[in-house]
Amino acid sequence: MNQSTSLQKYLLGAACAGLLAGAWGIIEALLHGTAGTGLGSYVPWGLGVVLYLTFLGFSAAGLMLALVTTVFGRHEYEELAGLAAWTVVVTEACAGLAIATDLGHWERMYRFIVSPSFTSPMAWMFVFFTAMFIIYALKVLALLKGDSARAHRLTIVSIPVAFLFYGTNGYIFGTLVHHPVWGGPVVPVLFVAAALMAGGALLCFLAWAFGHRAALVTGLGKAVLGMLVLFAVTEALLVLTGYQAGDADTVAALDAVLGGGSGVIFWVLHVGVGIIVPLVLLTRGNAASTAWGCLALVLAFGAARWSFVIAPQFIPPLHGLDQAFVHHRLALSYSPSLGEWLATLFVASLGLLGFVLGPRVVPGLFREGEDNA
Amino acid sequence: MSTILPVEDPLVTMQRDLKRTLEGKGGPIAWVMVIDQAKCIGCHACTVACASENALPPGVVYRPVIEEEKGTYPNVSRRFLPRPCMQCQKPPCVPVCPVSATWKDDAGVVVIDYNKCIGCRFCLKACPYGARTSDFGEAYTDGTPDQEGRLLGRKAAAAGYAERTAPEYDKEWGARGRRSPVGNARKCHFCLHRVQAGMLPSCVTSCVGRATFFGNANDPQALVRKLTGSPRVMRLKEHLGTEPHVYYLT
Repeated sequence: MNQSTSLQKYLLGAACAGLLAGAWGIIEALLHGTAGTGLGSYVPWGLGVVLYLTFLGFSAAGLMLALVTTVFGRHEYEELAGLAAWTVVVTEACAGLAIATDLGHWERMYRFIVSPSFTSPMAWMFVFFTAMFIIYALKVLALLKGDSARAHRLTIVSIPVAFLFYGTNGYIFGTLVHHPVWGGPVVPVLFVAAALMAGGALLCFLAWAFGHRAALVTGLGKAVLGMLVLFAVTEALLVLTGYQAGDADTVAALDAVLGGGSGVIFWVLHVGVGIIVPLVLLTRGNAASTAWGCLALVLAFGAARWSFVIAPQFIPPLHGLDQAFVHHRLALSYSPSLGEWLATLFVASLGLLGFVLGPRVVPGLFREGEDNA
Repeated sequence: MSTILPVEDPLVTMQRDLKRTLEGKGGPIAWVMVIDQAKCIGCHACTVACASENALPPGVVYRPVIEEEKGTYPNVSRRFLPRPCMQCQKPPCVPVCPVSATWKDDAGVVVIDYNKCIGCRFCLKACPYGARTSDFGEAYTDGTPDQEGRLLGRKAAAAGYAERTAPEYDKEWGARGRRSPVGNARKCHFCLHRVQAGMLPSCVTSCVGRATFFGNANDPQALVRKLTGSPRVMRLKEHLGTEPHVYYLT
């Protein structure tokens, strides 16, 4: 218990330090919009979008648990309901902060309400994002009040909303049919699989970290393993069909993803740490290995998002366009600025703070198990 | 015995066409642009004229000229592809905007409401021609002594070029700082502010090779109407179904 308390203190200290150090990144984004970023017009989506999509994936912890308990009838996992609901609220808050500060004019976000265009997948993303946050905030309240019937109803409602939410985020990319790698119907499926994988992994690790029963951890680990395999196969299909079809831009974009500087991120962080290490650890079958495998997956999930979002933008929409008018904002490359890294540190620290303070702020959601307590 | 027939400058012809349309005699307005690649000499005058007319900041370009080199020495050829906004009939950039900040106006030009745009840059990714750029707030006076030394809210337009602001969409947008169009998506709009005042777009008037034509596609007498009927006509990425309103004569 003492070890646990001192670890919590270290984590709390790390989270506070991260918030302090990263605050300038958020302040700069709030004051100057995208001016301080390393973004350009040909690579306009960068670390902010990667960060948003990463935390978005983590928020699928709620969907994973809802499927396990409601669709597959494994009611013993209900004891993770509070943890999962808190995870959704915390990670959605982080995702929302990441994407809001990535806008050129964050102060106009009210426009999503006063002049929405429902032909845009992004408008639907806003709708489902908000719906998910409200549903899980209400579920947190219901669980704290002990109203299990209401919590169950909210869980049922959350399932289709969550599928629409994660699918819509993939749909944003999938509808860009002219864009190499992004366009196509497999992308929304990839996003749902990725979200369930990452969200499930985070929930599994947290279940172990907060001392829930080993059987729950290993059982959840099997579900994560299944989603990991589905994700890896879907991603492999995306790459293989792209190469086999032979479209020049798609091949060039895939080369950019798999080679060069981005290749290190793809092969070492994404495939190595994010797929192979979890595959090995998750198949061992014990709770500790499962938890560490899930942690590896969680930590490397950002690399999966980076590989998907960044490198495919390095292909010009018209060949020679990047040479027609030379400026660093019109380049086919991207390196995040210090401000973007600091904002990332802030958002990640906010997430960490949420899980460190969670047991103190809302202890009713964090029922400890017997094995590790 | 050959005689040199007097040929009217296309600018005069197009100016007359424009006047006729603005007087309501050219039929419903559907502005189109025609670019003759055989006449384009790659001087980039249109790019510069556009940047000057619209007071474009660094990193924002509405009409770059792409240079294509084909073949290997000694059998080499070059051609130039000016690339304004295609003003597509079915613009992919419009339906993706989540806040209704961009639309196709009655004259067929895709326009942006800078005061609605949230700067999500979805439209930049949706345009298959890379015709939209984001204004990241830079100014040509950045780095000059007058601009340095302020941590917050530094004065963005102190002198010179930056004092001249964008006249787009019939509005003076004020000094560059944090306000729009900084933080917005920006694009070629066929110089609507000039056209509505009876002037041709700046890229048209500045073209030394007379390679760029502009007018109302619905006017049967218009020069562009004749040119778009040429067998040399092609449009970029037609397979996408965007139906660009910019035609190229190859």
